[in-house]
Amino acid sequence: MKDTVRSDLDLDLKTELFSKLILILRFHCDISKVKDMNMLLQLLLCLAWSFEASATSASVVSMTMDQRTVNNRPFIGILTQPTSSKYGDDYILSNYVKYLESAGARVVPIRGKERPEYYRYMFKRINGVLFPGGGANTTQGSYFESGKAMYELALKANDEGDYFPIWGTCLGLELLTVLTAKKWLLGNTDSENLTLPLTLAKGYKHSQIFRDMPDNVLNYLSTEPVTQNNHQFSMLVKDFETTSELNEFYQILSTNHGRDNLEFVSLMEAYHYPIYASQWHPEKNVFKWSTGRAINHSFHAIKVTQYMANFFVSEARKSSHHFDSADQGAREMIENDLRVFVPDHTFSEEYFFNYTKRE
Amino acid sequence: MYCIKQYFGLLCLLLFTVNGLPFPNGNKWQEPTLNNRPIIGILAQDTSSALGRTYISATYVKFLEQAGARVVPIRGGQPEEYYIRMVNWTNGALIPGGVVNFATSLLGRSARLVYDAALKLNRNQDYFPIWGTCMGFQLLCYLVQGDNLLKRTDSANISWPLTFTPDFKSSRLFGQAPENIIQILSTEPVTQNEHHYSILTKVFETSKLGKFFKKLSVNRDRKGVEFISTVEGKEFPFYGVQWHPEKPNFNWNTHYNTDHGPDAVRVSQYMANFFVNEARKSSHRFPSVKLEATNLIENYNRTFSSDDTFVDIYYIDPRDT
Repeated sequence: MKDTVRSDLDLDLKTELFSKLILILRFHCDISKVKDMNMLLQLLLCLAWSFEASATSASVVSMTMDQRTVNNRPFIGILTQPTSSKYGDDYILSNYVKYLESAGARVVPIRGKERPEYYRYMFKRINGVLFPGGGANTTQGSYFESGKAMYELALKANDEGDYFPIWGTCLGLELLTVLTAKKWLLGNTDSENLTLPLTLAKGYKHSQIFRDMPDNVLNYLSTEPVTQNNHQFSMLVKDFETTSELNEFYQILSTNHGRDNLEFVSLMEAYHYPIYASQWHPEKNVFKWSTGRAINHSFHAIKVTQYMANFFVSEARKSSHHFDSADQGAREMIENDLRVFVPDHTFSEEYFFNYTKRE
Repeated sequence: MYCIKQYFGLLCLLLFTVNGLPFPNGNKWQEPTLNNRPIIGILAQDTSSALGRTYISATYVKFLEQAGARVVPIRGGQPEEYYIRMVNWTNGALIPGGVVNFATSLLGRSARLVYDAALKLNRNQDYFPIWGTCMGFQLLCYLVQGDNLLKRTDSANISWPLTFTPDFKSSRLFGQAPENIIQILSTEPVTQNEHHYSILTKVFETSKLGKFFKKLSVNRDRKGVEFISTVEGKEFPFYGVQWHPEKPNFNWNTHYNTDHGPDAVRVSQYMANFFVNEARKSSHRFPSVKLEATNLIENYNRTFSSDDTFVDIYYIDPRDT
């Protein structure tokens, strides 16, 4: 009995020391040099404790790390992209907004054609960014430029221990391959309006996306047509494998074949960064109701969508960026922007943005 | 006379059984072909706002949409045929939380008409589920009882875990729930309560409510008074929660004490998935895609408050001009 009490005490002490260690580390990250010898001493003491601590404290470490980072009010940015609509210069489909909101995130638009300060300003206040699908240019233009700005800020932040996740869907995956490889490597495939199960790739099990996936969701994803493809271009597996800039950066988690039997990357994640991308559309199963589309709206398909949204929003919860006030966050939210619903068989709903609107 | 009254319920039950209820053999409801494009009506409620006579909070819309349903508003103050028509075109109804007078409000009348139509449909083997949240649950109780049985409790702006009753395991709502959902619900304060009145357990047991509903969970208010927190209809696919499953992922008001953590979000998704799966058992549909699209709530004026309340509201019925 006494031993139990004693070890609990140890556990508490270690937890406290770890919290201290993290505080000190954070502090020194900010001022970037050690000014106080006393603090350095504490730091070393904590480190010594941490090395002494064995199996039991591993859980303590992860617990403390989680406590430090869980942000249960995450904001996620979605890139706007050009449109020829009369309603605005740029748009975002509301499907992507609803997708992220369903997992407990709020959404702010990341506008195109803004100055570098704007991207830096928004980056510091949001907890992740989603590159949506669409038809924008991925080698130049505003979608490419704003994606590039967020991607570069994310790499730098993650390198400095400031967790910041990115998710690319469809065109978003294509943009990520361009940004990482610094060249356009996509191939033409016959893969529009094609709903498939994923063909899982070697090592998928140990990836961030699959590690904690419940068996039933894994089963739906790998055996039922729950992933809707809607793309003319793809990252072909053969090109991926011969491009070291890509295969050293990303792990292929699944592949698929188009109607032309060409094999393309359908799901991938970066080895050393919280960067994820799907060639298919997880958001459509739940939120896209266009009648002309082969979209699976079954309960199993909806469970897959919810898993993917939950996964990415949980990644965003690890980022502690925040707006200066609740009101400021509310003012940046996409709910403030023009939303247009088309009451016909497309059930299309879009948000529109004008470059002139910037306050 | 007394005897007739006593046995009236039994007689009705016998008659229903002959007619064929949704759950003739306990829970063994045969799964019809599922409808994977379900549309659920949310009942609009009275407001004093200048922007409309009735409103629907976007949080309830998002709650249902996240599970693969689309939403149409059920308007207030319409002719009776409107409600019959809407029930026959949709796959379920949700009565939201809020504050109205059950007897005199537009929502009270809409709810009674939808409830009566749903009873009739279900008795005719035409599956039509109803969900009530917070005041929506209280309004369902009012319709079942024919009287207001609410008592004042100290239960606003507080989150609790549920205290499950022994019956919860055999329920439709929780019987098939994954273990982690039951674990979260019974141990973590993920259910936000936002009510000043409740159906007390002792009132429930001694009223028609105890015969109509199976109680699945209870809670105690700040003063220790026990009230009913989750129910499901014994013979009808009607569900009621005194708490707010939609708030964790969709209500960001900083003045409320809401748990936005991943576990609370999972519970919201579980509850929405359950109810939308119930709606998938209904094969009702709009006569045309055009009517379906023009009735959806996305056609209505939505107003967002750009401040720390994050209030997002659809206004449904216009003010008379």
